[in-house]
Amino acid sequence: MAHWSGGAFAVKNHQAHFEIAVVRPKFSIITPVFNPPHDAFEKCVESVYAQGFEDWQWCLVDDKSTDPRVAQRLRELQVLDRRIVVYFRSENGGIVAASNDALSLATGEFVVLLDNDDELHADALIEVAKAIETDPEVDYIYTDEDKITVGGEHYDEFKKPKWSPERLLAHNYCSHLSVIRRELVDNVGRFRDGFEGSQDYDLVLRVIDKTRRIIHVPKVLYHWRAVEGSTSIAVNQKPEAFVSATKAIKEHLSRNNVDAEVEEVKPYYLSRVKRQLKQKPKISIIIPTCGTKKSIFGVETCLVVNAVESIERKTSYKDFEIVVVADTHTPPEVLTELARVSPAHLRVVIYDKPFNFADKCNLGVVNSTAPFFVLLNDDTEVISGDWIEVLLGHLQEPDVAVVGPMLLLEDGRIQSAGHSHTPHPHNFYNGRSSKELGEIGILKVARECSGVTGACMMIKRSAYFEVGGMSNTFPLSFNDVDLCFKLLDRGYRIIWTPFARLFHFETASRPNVSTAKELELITNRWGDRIFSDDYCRIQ
Amino acid sequence: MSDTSAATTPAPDKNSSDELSRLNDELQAAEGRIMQLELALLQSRDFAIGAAAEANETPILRAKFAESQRLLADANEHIRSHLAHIARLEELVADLLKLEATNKALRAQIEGLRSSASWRIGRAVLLPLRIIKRILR
Repeated sequence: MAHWSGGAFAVKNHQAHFEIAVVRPKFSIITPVFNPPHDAFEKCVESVYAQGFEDWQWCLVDDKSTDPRVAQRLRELQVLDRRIVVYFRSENGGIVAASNDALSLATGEFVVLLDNDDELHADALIEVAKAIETDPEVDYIYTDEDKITVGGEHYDEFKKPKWSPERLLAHNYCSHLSVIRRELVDNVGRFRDGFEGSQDYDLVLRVIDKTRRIIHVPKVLYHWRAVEGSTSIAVNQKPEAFVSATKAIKEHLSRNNVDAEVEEVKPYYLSRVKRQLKQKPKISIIIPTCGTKKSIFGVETCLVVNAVESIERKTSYKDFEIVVVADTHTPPEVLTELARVSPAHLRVVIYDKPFNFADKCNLGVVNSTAPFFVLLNDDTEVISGDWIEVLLGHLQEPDVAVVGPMLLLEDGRIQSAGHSHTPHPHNFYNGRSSKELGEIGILKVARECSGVTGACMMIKRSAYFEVGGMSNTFPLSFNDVDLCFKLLDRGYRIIWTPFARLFHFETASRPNVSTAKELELITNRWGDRIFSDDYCRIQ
Repeated sequence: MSDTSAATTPAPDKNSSDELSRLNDELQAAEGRIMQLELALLQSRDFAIGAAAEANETPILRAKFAESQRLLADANEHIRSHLAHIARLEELVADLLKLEATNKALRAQIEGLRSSASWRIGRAVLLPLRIIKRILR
């Protein structure tokens, strides 16, 4: 039998710590152990000892490993360093029981979740400690992560977004590395039986019920080992984990009084939270136009008539009005045609000033009456019949101000999957296939973002008025970017969802060019924020 | 009841309809005014928020401006030292050109000397001596 302690890593002399044994260390690393691959476990040990921050305790619980070398190695580690505490379970109880036993050993202020075959980056604890220094009251810290092969090659770096509760309902994007205040973990009842495979997801969902003091450290501080049978290779390696995840999401929604169904986004093992509408208020759809005609799907079409006709034909939501803000030079026959296709819902407002998209939208808004309204370009066409229900579902959350749908080009490629400002403001995934999954499923889940395009956004009226609506300072471009920044600054969330789809025949109605003046103005207002995006860090 | 009431009925109706029409006009005007005020309110709020955002950016821009000025001063200093270096090099080049001219003049002098009759006579006189010297070597 090979002797484990003879691995690549020789434990250094840590006797010095005997004298400075800390009663309440900053971090307690929690690691349930069950028959880990030898090399991977040694790498894990090595990574803990490589930590620049030394005020830690490592709580290892052997869940009755059948490989006798595991117990032998754990005993060695325990003897070599008093910061290492090991407990040997008398019977195999599974990951939840072993993790809870490890939590019982913990005395640190924060618990750090580490799997027995993964690795911490050498700066992991020091970076987390720095984050805690910036907000000593923080309860939950998560970091970026990547995957690592058995051979040690790093891949699949996951540049995570800043705190995104909506996205967390689609998948456990926080995952590794997660560091949680121990007191809070105890308060919420630690890990729960019945959530095996997604026990950490369930824990995080219960933790966020109690706190919003959450920090994201945008650095890869955790290396997730891709071994056969692990969800790091593919989620479908452990389908039971998805069942547990769905259960955890449902319970989280129930605890927060959110009436919603949780559906699987097949075949990706992602979740969709479909909120039930508590009320069905009137919705105003505001469409600025000048009655432009263009060729769509090979047919010369009046854009606004096509948009209104598609709303009337496809929208399942009943209570809406359409406010068309038409330039004075809009051909009268267009207005006549509009009245024909939408006899019950239409209202036309004439705009008699020089072109200013923002001003036209504002005029439409003050002429509308609903508590929620949609700003819609005239070069759009509804695809999803339930688009209003989907968008409105998100706006039921009190801190959500704007929701945007997936917009597709005429040929089915993506026109906009929300805005991204990395490295400059642009429509995310513009021109890419709408069948793509996107990085870590980003195109298949509803998520927070820094903004959505003004071509189609549903807005809470009160929030719109609170921030002064669209800025006339930006007559052509950036008015939507500016509006979203104003809302974000007031603490609102902006959601993009792939579950409502419309066509946007981009730039069919007007040229898509921003002037140098507008770029200067938006930069003066928002500085470097328009060139980096904490929600979309993908280039 | 006499017919007088019937005779007087149209008058109040007309008044009511005029009154209704006037009130409607007033209502529409008031609604228009409200919309104008709402637009003005939106614009005012946007100006205020925009100004506040710009004010927040001002210290950052100032810091950036100060940094740019420092970089500009560094660059100017760099350019100045380069110019001085170039001036020194130009002086050296001028000296070199002068030396080259002197060199050229001296070479011409030597060439002149070598092509003179006295030099050639001297060479001819000394030719046997040079041959003997070469043989002995």
